[in-house]
Amino acid sequence: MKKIRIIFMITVISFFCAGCSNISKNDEAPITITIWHVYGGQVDSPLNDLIDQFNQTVGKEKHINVQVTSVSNTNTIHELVLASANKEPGAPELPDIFISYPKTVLALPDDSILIDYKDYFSDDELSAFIPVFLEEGIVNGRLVVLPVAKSTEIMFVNKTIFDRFSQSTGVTMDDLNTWEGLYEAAEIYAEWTDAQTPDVFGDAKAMFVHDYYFNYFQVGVESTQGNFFDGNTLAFDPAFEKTWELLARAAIKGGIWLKGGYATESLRTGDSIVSVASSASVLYYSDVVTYPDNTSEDITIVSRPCPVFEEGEKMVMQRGAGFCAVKSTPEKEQASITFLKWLVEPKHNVEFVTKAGYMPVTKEAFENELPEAIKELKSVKYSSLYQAYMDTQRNYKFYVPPQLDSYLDIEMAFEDNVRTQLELGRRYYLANNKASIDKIISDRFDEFKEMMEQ
Amino acid sequence: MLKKLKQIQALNALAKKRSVGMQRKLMLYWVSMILVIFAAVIFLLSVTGIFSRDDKQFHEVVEVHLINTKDRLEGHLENLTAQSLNLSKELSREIEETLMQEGISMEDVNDDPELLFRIQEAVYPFVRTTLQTADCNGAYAILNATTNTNLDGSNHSRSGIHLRYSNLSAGQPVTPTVVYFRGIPDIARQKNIELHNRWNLEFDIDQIPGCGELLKTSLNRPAEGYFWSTRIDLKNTWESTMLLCVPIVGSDGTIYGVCGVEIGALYFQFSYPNTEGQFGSAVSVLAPIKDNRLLLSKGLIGNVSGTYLDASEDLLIHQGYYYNEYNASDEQYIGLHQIISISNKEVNDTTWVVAILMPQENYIIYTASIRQTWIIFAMILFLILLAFSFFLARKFVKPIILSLKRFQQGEITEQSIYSGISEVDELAEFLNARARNQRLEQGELPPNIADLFDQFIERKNSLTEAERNILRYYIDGYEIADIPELAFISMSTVRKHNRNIYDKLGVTSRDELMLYIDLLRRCDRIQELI
Repeated sequence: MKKIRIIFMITVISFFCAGCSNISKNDEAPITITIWHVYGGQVDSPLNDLIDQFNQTVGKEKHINVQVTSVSNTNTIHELVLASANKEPGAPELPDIFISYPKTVLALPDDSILIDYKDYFSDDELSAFIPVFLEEGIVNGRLVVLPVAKSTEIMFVNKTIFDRFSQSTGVTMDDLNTWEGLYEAAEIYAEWTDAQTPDVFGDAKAMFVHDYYFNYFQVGVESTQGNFFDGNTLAFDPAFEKTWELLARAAIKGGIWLKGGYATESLRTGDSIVSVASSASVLYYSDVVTYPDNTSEDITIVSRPCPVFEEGEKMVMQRGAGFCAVKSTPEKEQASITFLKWLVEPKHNVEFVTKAGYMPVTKEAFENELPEAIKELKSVKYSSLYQAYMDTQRNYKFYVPPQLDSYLDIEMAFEDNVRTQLELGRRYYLANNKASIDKIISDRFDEFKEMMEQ
Repeated sequence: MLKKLKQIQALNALAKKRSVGMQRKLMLYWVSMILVIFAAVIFLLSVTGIFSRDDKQFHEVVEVHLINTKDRLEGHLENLTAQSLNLSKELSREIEETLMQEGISMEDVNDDPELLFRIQEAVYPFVRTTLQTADCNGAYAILNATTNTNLDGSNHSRSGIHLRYSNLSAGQPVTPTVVYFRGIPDIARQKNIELHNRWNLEFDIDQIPGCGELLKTSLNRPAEGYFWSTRIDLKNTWESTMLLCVPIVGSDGTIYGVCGVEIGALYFQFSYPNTEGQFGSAVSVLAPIKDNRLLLSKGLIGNVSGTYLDASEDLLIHQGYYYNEYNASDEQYIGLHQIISISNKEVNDTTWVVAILMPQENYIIYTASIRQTWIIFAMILFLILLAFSFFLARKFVKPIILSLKRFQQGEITEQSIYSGISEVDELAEFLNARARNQRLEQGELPPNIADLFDQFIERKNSLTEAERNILRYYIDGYEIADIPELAFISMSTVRKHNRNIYDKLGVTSRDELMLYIDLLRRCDRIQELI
């Protein structure tokens, strides 16, 4: 009888196990989280590579699948996020994670849709971050923007063409250390290139392009003891006029690239040879310049710290957005956090930032992992970039833009107006047979000021 | 095998020789019968398709999904083809007009950047309009001419314009950002559009399978030679795309170039979302099929949420009755596919299919829950039948065993061996009769006679001394008349004692008494009476 009971129990248990063993596999369906980011734009994305790595390892183990549904730029993502959050017709659904500056969060109709990272990261985990990076992500007392990579503005030089220019004119790379020196070099470059085709009037080539003239003015004014903002508007104090005067003179003489688009574009077509842009744009600089006749030239891009004003403080813009995570189901939120924690682990963080041209965000990554990773960099473009990073880190003060609701609107209007006015100035200058430059500079400033004050 | 069979036979023979309990044997027969019935039921259920009901249902669901996706995809691609054919005609007219104005042929456009600029300027609005109106993420026009024939690789470098959307997201963006992927940059600046991060002045037609051959052919109409390229990686970007290549045919049959639209991998992913159903996540696929492999690496896949489907893998197909299996390196998918005709002139005779794929794991989980219900039900039924057979066997065997025990103990009365089973009772009766006969043969009295004698002898103990005396005279053969004289008592006293003796011994007459005495004497038991 005892034997029968044992056999009976074994049979029952094995039958149940047969059923349960399959049911437990239900958990293996992956939780898919979507992400919008900016790392890579339209080129090979280092973050996408890291995401693949995550999906194949930790993701597979924890049944999380991270899916990139947009790689764009912060402004486009800003617009998409606002459209989604406001539930505008035709707007896409918000992803689980998106890249954002605090300005996007400020513009949201309700920022409580975002996760407060303090709920998911312990104090110990948060203390591993570089404090200034973390502080930038706090909006209304909540940590909603998690830094994963930070950047600053760096000067990129097409060394191949600059060396030719240098040999011919005596202008050196060191002249580019200050804005005054750089603009003077730009004027010389314009004259030098114009002189190469004497039969064509006014075909000077621009030497310099700035990704965001708005940043140039902001940091320029603040570094020379001026005030760029006056509340929610621009202050236009004397320091502003000085930064305008220097830029405008070089631009009107043809030394500055004023057409739209990113700084990388004109360097790729050889229309300019020096740029100041986010360090992250290193990914987009091509090692080849293609000319209108379809000939191309291999070039070397080198990076240097951002120029400063001769009498100003060594100051540079801190850039680099962070990740916002959208509240959803507890499983999805946890999956998003798992991915982000993995991404900011020093090893993965440094692997990511050194491919994308950013700085890591944790102290350990900065102190231990980054120096080792820099030693491994073989490309001059990247090794000089991190050299410039180190110089900047040591000698510059980082400027963090204020959190203004109107920041993005001012930035966009500023960028358009400054380019338009300086381009108009250049046209008037050529139309006046290169005369009355001071008046043109002053008139364009008044016009610009008026447009910005509207 | 033969050796094993022999071993089994030997074991069976040994088992047959061993004596097995009746109940166990009966149980064994019952269980065998249950198993046979179970097997028959399973066979019947299999034949009637009960077990393959999930497979059939899966087939029906996927088939409907496949038909819908195919219809949608055919409509989508047909529209794009129609728009691209229209673009081709318009570009042909524009190019022809420019060439006529200049009085040159297409070949003369080579090495003339200014003329190429003019043609691209004329082409731009058509490409842009096609991009904006077609359900695609890019439009392009390649001219059969290059800016500089003196360069290395100029034989596969062709001038043209390629516009793409850069801010793709789910659904058609209302204000899409257009980037300039290929073309003369001055046009992009004129139109205020960004250059793509990996912009190039010209197309490398070697990157587009079939494009070079198309430019070398001669056709009457563009519809004669259009095709969709397999998915190609856009060099130095993270994106990949399929291009619809429609020839731009001049009135004399000259191929001026190739134009069309593109469907990028990301765009397809947004346009064909996955469907979550009872069997898991269903992913739409448009891909070539070759050597029994679904070439995902050359096709497009829809949203893969809920799966680990990798667009860079090729899946090995195992055809099945209800569905096919598609095996990746470490994942298995199931689904169906159907051939779809998407091009007029396929490059390398490519066969395209639309497929719907689902992770096999999800399906297994779904069917496991149903299988579990079946298993539990069958198990409960089996256990009930087992218990019932145990009960029946026990009930059947119990009286037999009881009877046998009584046999063993010698309790062989007619009543005590009644088992309720006629054959057993007959056997018992038979055995009883045989035992009885044996005893009779050995001189034994039948048991009831012996009982009768026993009782008679027992009763003699109730006689008084005087009555026992008189009984002894009878045993010694004396008559009643002899008794008064022998015992020195009167005849009336003898009669009185006689009555008492008869009463106590349970006889009614002297003859009956004498019969007992005679019988006891014959059985050598007369001494017990004295």
